[in-house]
Amino acid sequence: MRQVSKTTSWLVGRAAVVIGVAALAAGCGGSGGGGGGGSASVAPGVTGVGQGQLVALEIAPPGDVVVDDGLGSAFQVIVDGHYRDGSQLDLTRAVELRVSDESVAKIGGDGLITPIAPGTTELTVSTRAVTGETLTVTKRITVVPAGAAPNFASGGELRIYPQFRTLGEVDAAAGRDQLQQIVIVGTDAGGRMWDLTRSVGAQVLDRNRAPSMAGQLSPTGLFRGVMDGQEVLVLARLNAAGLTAGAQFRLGGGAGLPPSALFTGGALAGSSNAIDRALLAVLQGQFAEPSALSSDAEFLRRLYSDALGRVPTAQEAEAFDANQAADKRDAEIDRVVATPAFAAHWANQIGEWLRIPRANAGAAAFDQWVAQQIQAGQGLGQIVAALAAGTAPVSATFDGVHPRASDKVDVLVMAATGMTSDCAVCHDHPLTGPNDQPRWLQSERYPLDAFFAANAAEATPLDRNNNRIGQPFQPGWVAFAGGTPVTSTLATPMAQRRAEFAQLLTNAGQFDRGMAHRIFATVMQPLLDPNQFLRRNLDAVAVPGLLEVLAARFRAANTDLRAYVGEVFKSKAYQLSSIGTSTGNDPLLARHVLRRHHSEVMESLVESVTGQAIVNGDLTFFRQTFGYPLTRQAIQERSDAVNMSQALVLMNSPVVQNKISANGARVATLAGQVTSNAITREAAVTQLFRAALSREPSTDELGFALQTIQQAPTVRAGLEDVAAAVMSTIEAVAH
Amino acid sequence: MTAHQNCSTCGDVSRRGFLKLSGTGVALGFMGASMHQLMFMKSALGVQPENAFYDAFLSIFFNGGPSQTDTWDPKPGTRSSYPNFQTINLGVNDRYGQPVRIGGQFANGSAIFPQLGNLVMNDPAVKLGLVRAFWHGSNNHQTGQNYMNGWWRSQALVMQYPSMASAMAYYFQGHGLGIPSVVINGANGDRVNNAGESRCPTALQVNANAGNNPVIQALRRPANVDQARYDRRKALLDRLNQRFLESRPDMMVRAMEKATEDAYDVTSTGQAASAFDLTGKTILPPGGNNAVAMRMTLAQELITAGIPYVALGIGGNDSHANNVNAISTNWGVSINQGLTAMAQNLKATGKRVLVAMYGDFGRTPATVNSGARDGRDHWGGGFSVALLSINQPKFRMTAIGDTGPEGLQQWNTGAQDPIAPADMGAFFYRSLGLQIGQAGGKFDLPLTSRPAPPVDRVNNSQLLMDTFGLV
Repeated sequence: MRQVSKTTSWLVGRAAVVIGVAALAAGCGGSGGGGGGGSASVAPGVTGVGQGQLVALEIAPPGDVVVDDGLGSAFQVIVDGHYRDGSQLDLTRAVELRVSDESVAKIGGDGLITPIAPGTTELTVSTRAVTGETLTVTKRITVVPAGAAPNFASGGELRIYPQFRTLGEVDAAAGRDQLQQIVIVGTDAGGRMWDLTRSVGAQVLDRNRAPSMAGQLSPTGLFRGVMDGQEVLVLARLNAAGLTAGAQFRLGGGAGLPPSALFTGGALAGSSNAIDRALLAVLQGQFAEPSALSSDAEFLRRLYSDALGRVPTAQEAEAFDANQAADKRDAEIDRVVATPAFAAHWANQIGEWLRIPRANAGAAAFDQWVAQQIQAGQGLGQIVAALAAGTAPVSATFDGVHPRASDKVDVLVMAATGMTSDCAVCHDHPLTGPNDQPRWLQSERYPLDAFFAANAAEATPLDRNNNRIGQPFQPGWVAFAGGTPVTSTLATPMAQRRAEFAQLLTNAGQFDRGMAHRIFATVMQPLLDPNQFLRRNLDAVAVPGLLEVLAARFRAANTDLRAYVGEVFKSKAYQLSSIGTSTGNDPLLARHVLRRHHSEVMESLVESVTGQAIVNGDLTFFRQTFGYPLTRQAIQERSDAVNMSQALVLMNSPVVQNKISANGARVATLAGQVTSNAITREAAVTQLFRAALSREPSTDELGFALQTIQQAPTVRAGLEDVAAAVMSTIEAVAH
Repeated sequence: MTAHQNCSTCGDVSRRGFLKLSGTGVALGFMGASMHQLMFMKSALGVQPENAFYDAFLSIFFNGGPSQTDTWDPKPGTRSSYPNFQTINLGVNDRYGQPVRIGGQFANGSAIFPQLGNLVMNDPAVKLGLVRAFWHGSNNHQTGQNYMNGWWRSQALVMQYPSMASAMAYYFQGHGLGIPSVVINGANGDRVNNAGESRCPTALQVNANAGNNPVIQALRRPANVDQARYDRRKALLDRLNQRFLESRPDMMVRAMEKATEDAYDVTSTGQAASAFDLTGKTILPPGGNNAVAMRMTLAQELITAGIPYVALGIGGNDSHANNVNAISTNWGVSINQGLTAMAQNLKATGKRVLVAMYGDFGRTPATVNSGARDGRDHWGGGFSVALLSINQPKFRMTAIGDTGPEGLQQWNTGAQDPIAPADMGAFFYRSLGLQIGQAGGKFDLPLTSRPAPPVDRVNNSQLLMDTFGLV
């Protein structure tokens, strides 16, 4: 809390402020350097500010002003008046502004300092209080020769002054609106302040982060409030540096309006989950509120599709809905990841990552072994290590599919680290830069091949014409950690070499990072291309720090898939709703972004609604339509693209429709129950909704469905129509 | 796992182009949701081709890799050609001032292109163009098929880029019958944009040979569902979707809405189902139940109905043995007779159609005639892509590329005007009015989770555009 005194001014550090004898009201601290106090200092019901006695002046931003003498250079300051009632008022245009040496700089009536020539001068602001006293405050201004541009690339901060302010009552009828000059200040990596008021983009937003009609911001930073009783957020972004700053203005007292914070953190606030904390920090810096938590139905469908590759049955959805336990989501997660179905589903995914073709005779056994390892609590590090070392019971399959040294290196590096080593088979990678580690030069790649080389030739680089050139490389780990000693040589028995590679790979930080992200990207959204971990891509991740957190949590779980993905599932970030008004904050994971369900989930949707599974040739056709990786010959074979073929299949194809209308199928059974008065039409519709969407229909939806049944020639036909429609909805198809 | 051969990993990528796309991909969330958002919004809207030279494109893929020496690039009198191999002089010169010749007939009288040659020499509306030094450097079937379907030579990234059929499915949404792209599979043609490899997740795949074809069935209303009932279902679906549409801004949501609307329209008009139904329609030569003829007839019907992209396959070209028989059957019958008739039929529609014929690769210039074997082996070093232009007066009948008198005996050396997959693909896209990759062009967009190859489409295709008069 600041002490305030009249008439006396002295420098505190390098800042010049006026302090007076009367203490300011509570709230004079806060986070806004030039605008402390904010709404907390105004008593509820007070409709005006600047009431009573002016007791002090303050110039913002704090600290000396340093401005260069380049063309167009300037620096905006604002003058705040502090009043006895604790309020503040923008007096920039109402006070006397003088500089001692106008050959150095000048100041306009709007508070804009214009440099003239290098040198130092002093700005004096003064005004007469109602008591007749003269209040004065000073600030040093230094003009320097124009030099380097501000450096925000290496870090910095963006702030708006004032950060919180309650403006006076707005009375449109009386032509009274409220003005507030703002200054947007960027402090660069070198610690120097730059006035960015006229150069960065700033918006006036409402609480929902939509453009607000309650206020306008001029290009010179003059805010004008035009609607009483409103709150606005002024949001400024320095996009090139990824810096954001916010200020909150309240227009008039507005009886009954609760104060709001610039950022609450929403569903993520208070979470102890490491993923949530990392995400929260980024969102806070961007003033991007996350969406609310998803509904139980949305959560359950998402969990089951990610964990088990299917939608919940109607019974499962109903049971979860009825469960009133506070921790039911965590309990369900724990239960689901412990099931054999979870292990089987993820074993299939791992087979995709490791490119074990389905047509291979050993593919089924491979998947089964991976599932067993997951179920037994073996970490992915152990699974990958066994395959790399050639000691797994299914190593014959893995080695047979990837027979050459280069094949093994490529598939393991890609799947485990997200890097593409393939290019370096024939030449140094043409696309990596000096900051990439590794750069995938041939001299980095072939030492990896040497761990698997059956002969010296396999450890010898190829040229673009498939000719071996130069000398064979000895085994080495230069690609990932140049200083790591390696004991193997080409003369070392193969088993020993492979074992050493396996240890090196699965203990590398790139393994943790690549695997953790690949799993995360499967159930949420990728932070970057899971197969292109180039420096450029890593640097552009919109949620900095999260990738490191994921890697750390993966390692902390001993690479146990169930433990790690369970932690992801339990994060509030995973459970955020997909509801939103814009996609602007999607890269920040501020809400759950939708994609189409994977093919196997769509298959289960059909079975859930109809009670009949898609099999044989129909299944192949269905999977082709919905992008199932039928061959597993490439890591990116699976597709979640949306296209008309899928809509045609859902709406028309006998593959689906015959199951809706089949005798003995779910719809026929429900129709029989309705006809026999065992259940009502409403109950039948509800069951279809639970089967398709894991939830009950809303009142409106129920009404529409009943209307459809009413219009049909028979109850059964009507229920078939409802089933067909519900199964084709976007909600049913969306993850 | 396919072999990595001749540095096919990184392909003909320009660093600037790839970095540009990488940067774009990162900003969009490469393979991430935000990229989906942008992509699906664009795909939901479809695009309008600009300066298109053709209304439709037919890709005929010769699965197995056909011989170029016996078809489009004969070397009479050399060891590359059969003795007494006869050629047809088309009466035009190639880019180098030499007469353009195509295969005429084998010494045993088996015809290759007499009817087709006669057509292109005498009908100004139907013209032939030849790219005779095409190369990608792979002798592997799967690799070659991937290169020749995606028009991008990059083994490591082969699953990353979509097939042309998929690209067409996105770019031509809303055109014609509402079905932008069809791949006609068959027992011999299923490697063309093989959906099993999910490189073609978005084009409609149909097998003309199979009864109760599920794809064609999906174009019709379900059994026992008349239009009134179908409309009721659609009305309920629209109401149920409304809340979701209002509360989710995702591009995926918009794309699914568009897909549903398109599916409803296609089904309700019935035109698509009719186009796919060959009942009562004249089958192209050789007629009857000939599988290839049926596929080609279906392609003709679909193009006539307004579908802008159709792809079909003709198998039996992997002629390590019985090369003469393979050429005589596939080229001498299916193309010489079938395509000639198709060209005349399509000419009558007035539509501007570009037909492209190619395989996974070519075949060795030297024949292997030891013992009973009459064969040519795989050859990715210099082979041919043939173009048939229908109703495009600007198209110039000529040939580009020269592999030398013996047909390029060494890999990738000595060919004049070698053309790579990216060049050819760019030419195709530009012929259809899609300025992919052009600076400032609208279509420089990633597709699904797979982006368009990061190549400078304009520069790579200009030589071909100029050669064939498409300016």
